Amino acid sequence: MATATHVEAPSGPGLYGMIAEFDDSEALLAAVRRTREEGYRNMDAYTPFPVHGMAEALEFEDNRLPWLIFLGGLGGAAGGYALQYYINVIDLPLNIGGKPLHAWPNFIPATFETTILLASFAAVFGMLFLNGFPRPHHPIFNAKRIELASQDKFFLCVEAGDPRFDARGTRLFLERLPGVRHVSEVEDGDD
Amino acid sequence: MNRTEPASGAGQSRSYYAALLFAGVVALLVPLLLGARQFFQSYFFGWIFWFMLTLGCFGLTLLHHIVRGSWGLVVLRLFEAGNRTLPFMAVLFLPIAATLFLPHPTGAEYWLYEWANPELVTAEADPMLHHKAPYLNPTGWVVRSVIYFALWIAMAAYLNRSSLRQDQTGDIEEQHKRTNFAAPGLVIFIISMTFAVTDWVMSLEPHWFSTIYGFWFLVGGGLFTLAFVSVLTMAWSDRRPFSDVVNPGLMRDLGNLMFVFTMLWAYISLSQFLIIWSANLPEEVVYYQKRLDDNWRFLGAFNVAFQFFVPFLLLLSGRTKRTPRYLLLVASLILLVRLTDMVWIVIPAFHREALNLWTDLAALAGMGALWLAIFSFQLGKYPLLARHEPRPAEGAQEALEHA
Repeated sequence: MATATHVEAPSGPGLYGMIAEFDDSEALLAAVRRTREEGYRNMDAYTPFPVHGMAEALEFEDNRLPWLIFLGGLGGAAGGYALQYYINVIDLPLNIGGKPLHAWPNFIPATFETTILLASFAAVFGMLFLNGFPRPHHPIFNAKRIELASQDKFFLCVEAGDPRFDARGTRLFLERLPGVRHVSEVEDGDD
Repeated sequence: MNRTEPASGAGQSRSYYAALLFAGVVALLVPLLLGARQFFQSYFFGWIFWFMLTLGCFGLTLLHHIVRGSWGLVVLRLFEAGNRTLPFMAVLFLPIAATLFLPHPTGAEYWLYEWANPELVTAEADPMLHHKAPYLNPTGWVVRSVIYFALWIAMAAYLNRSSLRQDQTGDIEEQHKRTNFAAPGLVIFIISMTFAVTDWVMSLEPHWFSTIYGFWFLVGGGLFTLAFVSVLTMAWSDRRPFSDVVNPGLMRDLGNLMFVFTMLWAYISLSQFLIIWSANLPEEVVYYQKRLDDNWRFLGAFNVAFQFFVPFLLLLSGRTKRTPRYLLLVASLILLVRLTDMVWIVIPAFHREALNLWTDLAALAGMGALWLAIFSFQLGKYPLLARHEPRPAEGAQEALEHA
């Protein structure tokens, strides 16, 4: 935060974006819609809990995670079934109650469980990976009061990378949004 | 947009109902060509298939009044019209009850229920049925059936009236009353429904038993009903008043609910099969022996593929749940497979020498015509959208704001 004293520059490479703070999710949701109508595209919302309708409002379209989860589930199903087949038919064939060695109905519960397990792993680790982890820092943490995004405040950050971004104009626009509490600049940089 | 006068239901002309009722009765009589026994079997099949839709509507009404989800409010009037088919379905149940008391047919010795013929239930003839007779006898069966219908009709009437009253008076108290009523009501419904399905369907094969059977039908009926209302709302999504409330949120909810019920259906179907297959007890395996022998196994495989895998994979995709046409297609597929699944569950119980499935389908179409005539008449009586809840459907809320 050593550079905090000279962020008065109108815009430029030193700026990550402009952040606006709101008191509740409805105000934030309305602000996101309004900001998109204004033509801004590079933005993100930071909230203490998942806000219903936010992904649609941000027009967030990224299907990579669902596909990763699907592939994880598929791998879990195939792997779980194959493991049971290997154990019961190839490696240690035992006659259990006169059932066939390849007793597929009995394989299904465990196959179901491994499907869920690997799909969940794909969901959690895929999410972390797609979010750029392991990553020690993100410029959004340079924003003032951003820690309240995990308590009771709602933030909208319009990023400087947006073609329409203009430090003064964007600040004026955000300050006029209904329900806005503070607007401040977010520096770029990892320190 | 005028929200004070929502378009009323799909009211039709008198000749429309007359044609449907006439066609229905004619189709129901078609199985008589193969004799009275075939008639009763086909009639029973048609009745139980459509009655699962009635029961599904009732169960989901109870569920809606407890959780009050926004999706439920959009389709509540469809459920309520389904509830009002209950008394008519009770009347249409009478021929089935009559089979217990008609003189038993020569040759076959019983119409539908083996245990209804006292000669077949003696300790010498059949010790198992003799043992079950204190419960499974015509008098007890009729008394229980009357109790089921009385309970359901009374509960549904109370909820429907309260919901309509709140539409007129706007009294929030009505809604709390319904929630307090529906919570124990759902418990009563699930218990009574389990008994009813056991009495009416499971006792077609009175030597066999399964304790998950009631829940199996509950989930099948719920899936049937969700697919049915999804088809209606998607087909009417460009018409008022549904055009105002069908939005991505509603479609995602309906799609996800069908998804959940599809998985539940698979879970229960597999559980029942797995437990019986693993235990391999003679009195239990007869059920699946019958249904996995001959050609029934192909229908069973079809049901596994198209009642589980295909809708499961289709409903996994977000695109299916976003596109009205795709959701309509999946829901229609589920309706079709509900039919083939009920064929696989019910028809093998009749031990027919010749399959003669066409009479069952004729009776099914006939009963369907009657059911849909009653349903659309009931639907036409009141506005298609309930508008009484303080938490209106998000779509309705947005429509209000834009108005």
